[in-house]
Amino acid sequence: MKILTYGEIMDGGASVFHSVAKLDGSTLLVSFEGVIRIDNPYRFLSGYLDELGKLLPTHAIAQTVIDFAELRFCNSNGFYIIMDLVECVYANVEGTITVRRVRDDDWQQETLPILLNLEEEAISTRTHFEEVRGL
Amino acid sequence: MSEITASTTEPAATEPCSTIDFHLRLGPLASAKGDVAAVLGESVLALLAMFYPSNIAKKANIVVTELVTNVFENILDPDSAFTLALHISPETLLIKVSNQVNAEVIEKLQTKVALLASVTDAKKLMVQTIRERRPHRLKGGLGLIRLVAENRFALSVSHTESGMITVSARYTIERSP
Repeated sequence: MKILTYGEIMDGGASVFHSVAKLDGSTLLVSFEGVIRIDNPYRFLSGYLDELGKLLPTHAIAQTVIDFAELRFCNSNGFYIIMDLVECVYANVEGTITVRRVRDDDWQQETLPILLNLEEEAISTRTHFEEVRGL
Repeated sequence: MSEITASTTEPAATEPCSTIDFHLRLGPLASAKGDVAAVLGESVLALLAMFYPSNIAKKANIVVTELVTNVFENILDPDSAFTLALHISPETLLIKVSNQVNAEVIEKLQTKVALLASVTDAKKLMVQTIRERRPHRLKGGLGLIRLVAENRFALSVSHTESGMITVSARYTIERSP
């Protein structure tokens, strides 16, 4: 498993959120963990977003897993960075994308499909959900 | 000063049967150091998750976070306080947040809540709002919509002559079939 890049949000000297892009053979795993509560997540994650966009096209990726199961909270200010990150992944990889999400989380069930832009057929046909139990 | 009461009438029941009521008053607002909304949201999540399914506790976390964040974004008088009242019973989750605001904020909130009460498809409104605001990455504007479209709360707003506004979020808890 090779770590391609990662981004994190620090709050009060502690890491409260991190996202990691890893490559396992031809499988890309992008995980989101922690909480997004700050006003402007771009302050911490714009570099990660840029790097992801540069790195992904340089690798042969056959399938992708985007894992939200450990993302415990996302405020509405976090919606756009999530949209930018997933859009970057969809635009720069081929193949199916499995989205892991928590079954009993309103945000992940109701709002995440909007942020993934599932209304677009080109997106929805590549997307599969894996429903997991929350902690 | 705060008071918290919780009671469980039957242990380990299949259906939640607890009633929790608390009323919290915090002030002056200017004396807060740190993210009060986050602390209250996480605390409510932890407390309610002891008595209710996690999806209910998560709903409370989001409401408390969004409404208390609004309080700190609209401080009229730094020496004033805000109140948070929470009630949960097997039928209802009701959260009320009150604070002192100016006439402009009252009008803005009333308009937003009236719009949310009138739309037939709140999720469609959320999609539209996200699309409008995303190109400029505009902060705010989604919190109340989210409570309705995502978390299925019914919102209402009331205010006094002195400018004390109360935003209420009510969720009817569905019983398992």
